[in-house]
Amino acid sequence: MAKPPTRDRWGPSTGFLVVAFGLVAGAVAGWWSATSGPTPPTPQTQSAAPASAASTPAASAAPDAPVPARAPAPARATRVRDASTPVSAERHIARVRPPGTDQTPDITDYVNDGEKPTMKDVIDRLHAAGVHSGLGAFNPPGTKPPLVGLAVPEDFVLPPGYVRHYQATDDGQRIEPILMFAPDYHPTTADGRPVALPGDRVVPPELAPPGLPIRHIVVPAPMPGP
Amino acid sequence: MCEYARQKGFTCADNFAQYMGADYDSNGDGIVDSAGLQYQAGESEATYVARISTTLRPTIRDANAHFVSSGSSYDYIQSDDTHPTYTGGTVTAGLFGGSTGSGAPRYTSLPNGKSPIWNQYGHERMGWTVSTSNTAAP
Repeated sequence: MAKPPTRDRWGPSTGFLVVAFGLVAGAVAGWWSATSGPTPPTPQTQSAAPASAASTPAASAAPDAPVPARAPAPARATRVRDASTPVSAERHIARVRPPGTDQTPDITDYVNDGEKPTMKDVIDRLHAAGVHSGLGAFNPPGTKPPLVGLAVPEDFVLPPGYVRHYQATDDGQRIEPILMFAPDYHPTTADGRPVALPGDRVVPPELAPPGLPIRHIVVPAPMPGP
Repeated sequence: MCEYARQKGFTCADNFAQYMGADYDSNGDGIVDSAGLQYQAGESEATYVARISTTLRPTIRDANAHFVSSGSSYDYIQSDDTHPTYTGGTVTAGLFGGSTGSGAPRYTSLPNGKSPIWNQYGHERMGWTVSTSNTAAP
């Protein structure tokens, strides 16, 4: 009668060795990734960070969107969190700063990597985030744009009541002068009734002095930035 | 503020007067408006306030239209309704640090200490005003 095969001596199992090796390798890899330096934020992370300021479409319109390949950085934010920093301020911090340093949000927290926003963009986004100090203390460019009116040549002799008004663009270009009414000018009609003037004192074509060529100025386009 | 400067030995650059007052005598009092509005060294606060808020109030105009004569005005304020206008290149400080550009002087001849465009832009006006109180040598 044949005996079932038995192991005549104790020895390692190849299958168990492979499983054990895999577990050890996984543990080492996990430890390494947890203790290595911070990884630059992914585009998904950057757009999500200022979401409270600008409510990104990705965050609000796609609740079922796939999870980013690399999770946003709650672990990194936790590592640098200062207990004295209000949560409302922390939520804007998108970039990692060394522990123990000032965690106050600055302008870089509102600008994604690779972006080159205009100053209007910057101030508008600061205001949207409720920031009204620093750069946010100012009105955005364009709050009071240059006036556009009739061009008035330098050699045109102005009658009383009219003035030549010069302006400049925000990047330092001279704008062709326009024709305006003098502040103290109050014309009347032939029968003595006051003539209604525009609130901004810019002379419309129908009230231009005789002999003035009717032509509107054009504000120069912005110069290329640095 | 100008009084505090005087007490500390400084001369005040009164940009309020330089910006808001015209460069001609608009009210016929014999004084150019921008000079008439200036703080007078040693005057009391009450005197200053009464002078600019009552006596000379009609000569104060928005710096968006600074009159250099009765027939010409210049906008001293940029479109953000805050910063002064300027001309030419700038030295730009980037959002993330660093700087670009250059700021070489554009005029080498300054008759009576004034640039030819001293009253045509807010920055230039401010620069001239500050220059008036500097001595030629320490």
